[in-house]
Amino acid sequence: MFWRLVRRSIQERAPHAALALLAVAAGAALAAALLGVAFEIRERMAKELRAFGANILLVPMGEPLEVVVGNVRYVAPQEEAYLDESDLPRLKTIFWRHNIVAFAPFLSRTVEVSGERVLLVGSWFEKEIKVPQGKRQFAFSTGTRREVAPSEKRWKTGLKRLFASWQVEGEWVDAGTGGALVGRALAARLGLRPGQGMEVKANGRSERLLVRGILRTGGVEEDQIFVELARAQRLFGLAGMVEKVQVSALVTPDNALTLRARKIGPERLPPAEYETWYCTPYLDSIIFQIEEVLPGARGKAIRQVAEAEEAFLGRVTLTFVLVSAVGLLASTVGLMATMARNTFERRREVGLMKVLGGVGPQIGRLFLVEVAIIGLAGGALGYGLGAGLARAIGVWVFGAPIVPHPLLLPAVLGVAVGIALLGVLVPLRDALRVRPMVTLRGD
Amino acid sequence: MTLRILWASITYRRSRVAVACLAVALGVSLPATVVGLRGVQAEFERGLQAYGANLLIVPRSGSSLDEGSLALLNRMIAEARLEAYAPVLTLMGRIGERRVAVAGTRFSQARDLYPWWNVEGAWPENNTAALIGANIAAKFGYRPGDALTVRTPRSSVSLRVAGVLRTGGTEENQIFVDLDAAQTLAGRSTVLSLVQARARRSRELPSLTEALAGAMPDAEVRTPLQVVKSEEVILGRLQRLLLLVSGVVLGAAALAVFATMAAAVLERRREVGVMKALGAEENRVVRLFASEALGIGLVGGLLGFGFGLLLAEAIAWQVFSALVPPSILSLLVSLVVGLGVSLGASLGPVRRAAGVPSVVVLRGE
Repeated sequence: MFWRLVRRSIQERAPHAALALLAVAAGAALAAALLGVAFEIRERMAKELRAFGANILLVPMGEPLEVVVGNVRYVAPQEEAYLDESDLPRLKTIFWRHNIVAFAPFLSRTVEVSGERVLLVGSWFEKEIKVPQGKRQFAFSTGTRREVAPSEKRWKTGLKRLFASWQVEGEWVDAGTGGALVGRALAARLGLRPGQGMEVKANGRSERLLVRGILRTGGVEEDQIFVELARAQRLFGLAGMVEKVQVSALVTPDNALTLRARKIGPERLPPAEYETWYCTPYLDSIIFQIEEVLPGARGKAIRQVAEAEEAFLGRVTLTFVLVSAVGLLASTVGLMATMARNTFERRREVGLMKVLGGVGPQIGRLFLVEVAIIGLAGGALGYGLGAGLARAIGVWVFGAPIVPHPLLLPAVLGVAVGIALLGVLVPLRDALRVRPMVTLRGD
Repeated sequence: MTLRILWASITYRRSRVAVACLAVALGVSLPATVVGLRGVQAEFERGLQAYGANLLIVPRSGSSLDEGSLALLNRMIAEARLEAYAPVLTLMGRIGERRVAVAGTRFSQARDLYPWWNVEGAWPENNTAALIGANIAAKFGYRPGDALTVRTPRSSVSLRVAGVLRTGGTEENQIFVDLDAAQTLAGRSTVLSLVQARARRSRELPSLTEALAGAMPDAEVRTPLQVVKSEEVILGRLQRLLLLVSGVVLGAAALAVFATMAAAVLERRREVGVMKALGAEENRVVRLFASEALGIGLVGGLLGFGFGLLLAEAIAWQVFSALVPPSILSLLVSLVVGLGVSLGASLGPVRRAAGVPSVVVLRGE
């Protein structure tokens, strides 16, 4: 009987019910789309930005004082120190190894080409490295141990991945084929073109290099020569050594915890906080973990990049969260008003039911169930619409669909039903309280 | 007569009309906010300053840059085309027997161009004060307040350490001194090794590059791809995102306003029946309802624009501590949504109600 009443009530008032449903759906769609994007936007933007350069610099422990003026590089002999190239794949075994987007080692010296002194830089262009497979254990201060085994066996990295903005005219230097990339300005000065050879003098030795491509970066690299790391090591007589490594890592913005850790040192944090700090991909904790696997290295945050990104991403996220909040508030109030007015208009019906012998709780239940059904249906419809919109926004803006968090569906449904019911409650109580004679007479 | 009926209809149903206006205003306020926020793109662009210089001026081989050519850059700053610039002269010097890289610049300008520089101590105030890169400070044991002498084959200057510089980059291996001191050390006044600058708007980079290259034939003007590309990506994404969100919000708002207005009219079918029973023509009834909807749409739209403006300013203030100029487009969107949707939503149901014989409507269904 009860359900038949509910069904008839919705059927008979189909246009009204449809409009209420539409109002709920509009609000729910807005909530699902905005929240879906708001939760994702920071990560998406951060990922895109990480393709444009490093945010961590690794140098040997003693941090040799490098004197670079123009194309002349000088390090006092007693200060020279290097990192071991064969240790570098360990970077992909740290706790936050998946956040290491790319890295490249560097080894540079001043050489002579056609009578001009230029900086020759050895690095990886696109190198496949073998990720060490041994299991590593992380011991937390609380005594908890966690075992981590790298999931990938091979991984590609190098300049090509670290600096996506660099442009090469001609071709990149493929692994093992030799040859060099020459900075655009230098190439113009020396009249070099891809395919030509050049004589490079270093260390009293002379070597012939094939120009593979001309490098355009818009920076100081346009006056330099880039060769494969192994080649540079041979040329300089520094087998297996690198002087610095640039790393690009996805990081979480700094907060009060990182600032405190920086001030007193992470080891002095209380155990629980240390664990939180260690298990969050802050720039500092990633550097800390890199130093754990590369004991001879010192990691430095490249502040320019880190700060710029943090400031920018923080602003984008905040703007979006605020817009979402405004949207949710507006649709909440709007929906409540719609539902309230709907019920208010139905006082006469309530009166009629009472005259026919319905009792308060029974009539109330009828109305509430009806509203809950509309809320549920509208919420589901809206969620579907909103999730589709979030997907579309993801594809159009970031090139990959945004899939709203699975918890968003129950949240949106719950809130939609809750708000609809909340809007109905007060007018329904009033309608039930008034004597039927008054409402039936029509005000 | 129509006006009087309209007036009576509004005053008798004062609270309902007010609620309808408010509902329209609420719906409109969100698209008004989002569209009003278009102005923050300029703020975002300014916020990108921390990405660093996007113009690099270096001398062509065999020539050198001269301070005289900075006049053009000063003019560009005055014209608000450049955000900031800093001239730099780098050279090799010695402290005692050890070699150091010395960079001369104008500290007041460097401070604007490199906002991420972290100085422990103070920025130099005069041309005998210096900023010491953190690595040099660590190696030589310098602290703010210490004195040091830098020598070159040509000359020497005595400096006082004002602050220690931390950037995480190669600057930590350099000593920054005033440009005049560096020129004294180099033994050549007015010479520069490079100029770094930041254009205010990245889309003006090509024209700025051209203007600078034209005025300085001895120099080469470069735009660092890393900075330029990052900004391009960021601003492009942001623009698209705001556009799409505006679209979504607009659609949702239109739906909500439509639902509100249509429901309001639906409830008044009985009224339509009474009017027709009293002899009103169909057209007249429709006109009456349409003008009421127009009024509600207008008031609601304006109110929504007001809310939206307040919200947009509040968000801009919260995020950027800056206000955005009120947008005409936002007003336009508010009015179109308010008027258009409320009119569209009312007309359908009224027409249908007016078409049904009044007896049927009055009997209820």
